[in-house]
Amino acid sequence: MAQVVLRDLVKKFSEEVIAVNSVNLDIQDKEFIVLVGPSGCGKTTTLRMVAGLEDISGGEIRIGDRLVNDVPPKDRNIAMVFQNYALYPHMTVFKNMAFSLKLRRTPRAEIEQRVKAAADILGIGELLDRKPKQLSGGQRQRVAVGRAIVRQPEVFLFDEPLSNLDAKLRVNMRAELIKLHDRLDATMIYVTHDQVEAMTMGDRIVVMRNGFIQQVGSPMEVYNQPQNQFVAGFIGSPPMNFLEGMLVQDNGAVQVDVKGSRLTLSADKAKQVESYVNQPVVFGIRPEDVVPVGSGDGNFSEPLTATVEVLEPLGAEIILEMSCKGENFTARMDPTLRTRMHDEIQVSFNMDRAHLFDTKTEQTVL
Amino acid sequence: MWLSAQSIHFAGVAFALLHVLAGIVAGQPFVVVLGAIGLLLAYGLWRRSDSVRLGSIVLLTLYVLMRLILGVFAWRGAGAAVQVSNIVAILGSMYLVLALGRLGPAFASKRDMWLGVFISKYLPLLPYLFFALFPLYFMVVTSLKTDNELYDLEAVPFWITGAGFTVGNYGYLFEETPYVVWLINTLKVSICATAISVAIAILAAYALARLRFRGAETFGVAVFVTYLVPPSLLFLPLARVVDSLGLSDRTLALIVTYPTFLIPFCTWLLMGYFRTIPKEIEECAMIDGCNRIQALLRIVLPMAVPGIICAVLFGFTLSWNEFLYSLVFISTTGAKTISVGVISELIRGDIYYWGQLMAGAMVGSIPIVVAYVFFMDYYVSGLTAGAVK
Ligand SMILES: Nc1ncnc2c1ncn2[C@@H]1O[C@H](COP(=O)(O)OP(=O)(O)OP(=O)(O)O)[C@@H](O)[C@H]1O
Ligand SMILES: [Mg+2]
Repeated sequence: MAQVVLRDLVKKFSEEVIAVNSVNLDIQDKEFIVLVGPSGCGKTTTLRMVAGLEDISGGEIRIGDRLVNDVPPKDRNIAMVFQNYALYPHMTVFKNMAFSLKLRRTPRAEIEQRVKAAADILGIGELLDRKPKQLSGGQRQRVAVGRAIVRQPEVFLFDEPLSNLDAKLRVNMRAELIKLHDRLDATMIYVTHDQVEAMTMGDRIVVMRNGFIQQVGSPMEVYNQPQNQFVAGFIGSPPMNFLEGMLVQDNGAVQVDVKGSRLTLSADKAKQVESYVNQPVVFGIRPEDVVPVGSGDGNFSEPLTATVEVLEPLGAEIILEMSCKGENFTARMDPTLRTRMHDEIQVSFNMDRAHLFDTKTEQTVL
Repeated sequence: MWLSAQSIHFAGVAFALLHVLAGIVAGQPFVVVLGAIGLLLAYGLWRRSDSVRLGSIVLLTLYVLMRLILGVFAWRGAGAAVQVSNIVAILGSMYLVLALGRLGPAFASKRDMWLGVFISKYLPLLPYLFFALFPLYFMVVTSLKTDNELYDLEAVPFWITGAGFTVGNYGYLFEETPYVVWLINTLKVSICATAISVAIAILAAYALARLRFRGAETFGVAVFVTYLVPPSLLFLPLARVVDSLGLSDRTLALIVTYPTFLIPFCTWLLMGYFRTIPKEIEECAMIDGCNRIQALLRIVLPMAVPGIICAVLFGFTLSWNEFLYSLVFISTTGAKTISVGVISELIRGDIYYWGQLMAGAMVGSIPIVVAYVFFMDYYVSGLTAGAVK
């Protein structure tokens, strides 16, 4: 049993630099949790505190049922894969992987067997006699993962392990790590700044910003119900469109006024936002919810006439940069759509999937 | 323009011509002949054939170097004209060295790549080699001469004529002086002092480079400043210390005082090296089950081998050549080191036993050469290759 619990965790590097700020997180046993956020938001620092490599300025960390604040890294029963792999350059791959077992005085035969097993899982069986410098980047990465799994730790920590790989290898390794998690049944904490990795790999995602946790939830929760404008903008690619507007009431209907265009909210949604009427809001809409007029049914806004500024055909979809009355937004549409640059097309927004944010607090209103 | 092939050819001819003129004016047929050879070589340079050119360039370089030697040690009785030709030759050599770097690529663009490489890379190294090796050569030559040859004003100092050759200086050194004892003393002192210093420096450098504690920065700078305090200031207080410890006149005095300058030096050197080792590797070892000491011994030290060898070599060389402390703290002949022993036994008043002195210096430099050759194989940088992306 290895749930990991962070309570009011704080890391101050100095009075001004507070890298991690009152972080509370309950990581379940065998969960794959992903910490994601922009550069410098404190992901690595959080992970290093869990590993015991960084002193804790405040709060507590529990692994299993044990308070580990003052437990040295080697006694935490964890394994970590570093962003730069950190292989031992003077040891062969076999010795790299066997090192931790040797320190624990595991019998020779068992070491051999466990290293072989791990090497087979990762397909590096033939490389065991090589030194790290004789390996390619992808192979080094596998060795680093192999070194972690021979330990059979309760918790795995990954710090952007894929960021040094090329795009194709990254996708492969992503799938392999997911399989690995399935097979090993261990708790994994995975740090990345790539929201695609976060969405595809995580049981739950933790979005961080400036040392604070913004939201914790399953990938779909975070995607569909972002708790604030930052999360809404960070998760999803291309990112959500944000249009500044005013909430107005007209003949009983609640509408968002964006530069004179009226976007009408459905009746039940209108109820939730009544208190914001006549206040400025940020209207958020995902690119896939911007559709050509007349496609599908649902609750759509009145048609808008928009000019196509940039066209990015991706094969399975088209990404369109459009502008309408000085507002720019992105749309993701079906590739069958026939349109060219500078064309004017009629689009409408799927109002069932619209988001509203408070202009000042950036918190989600709807 | 000044370094184009044309101007190089022109300069070559001009130097040679000046030379011939200088020789004629001074009435020295030898110089005239040299100049003529120079002219021929310059003509060779002019030719289009690459092999002739190469030959000419090599010979011209050697010739200019010869002139440089003779010029620097302007030999007795030389007239003004020869002096002028010397200066011409010196200027010429500088010009040539500059020019070769430019000329090489011009050759390289033609069919013989190796020729261009040779001219642009190796030839310019010759003057350096000359300055590096000449003192050594002079030492060897002098140590193999009889006193008669040494003090013969007519003899050329740069080589030995048949009758002047002897190995007797070496014999004298080993039979008439306690040279072997000095050698052993020096070895003992250098090895012990270096071992102690490097061991302490490794711990200090590791702490300063890796551990975060208050004052680490300041301490690091302080270590460096300590190294800057000159031994010529330190030896007075140190003499008192050595004396009160009852160590004077014993090699042990040197073993305990050499670390005063070796430790700061090695610490500073190793600190820089430890900083280049990614700290993640160590952290990974600590997660894998090491404590600090184990991580240092099993991970950091093996990776720092080139740095440590560097510290050992420098420490050993510094102790081996140390003179001042050795001179001040030791006065018994039997406890002296080579650097002091040779000087005190082979210079009597104003009489210098040149041959033996050179022989002593010659033998004394062998262990250093051996140490460097032996460790050079291990002194390969890039041990961290492959550790991190
Ligand atoms: N040793 C340190 N001393 C001082 N400040 C630090 C130190 N390490 C990190 N920080 C600061 O703490 C903050 C969080 O850093 P952290 O490395 O956790 O970011 P991150 O989320 O991992 O970013 P990235 O995606 O770029 O790796 C940053 O503002 C950084 O400048
Ligand atoms: Mg990071």
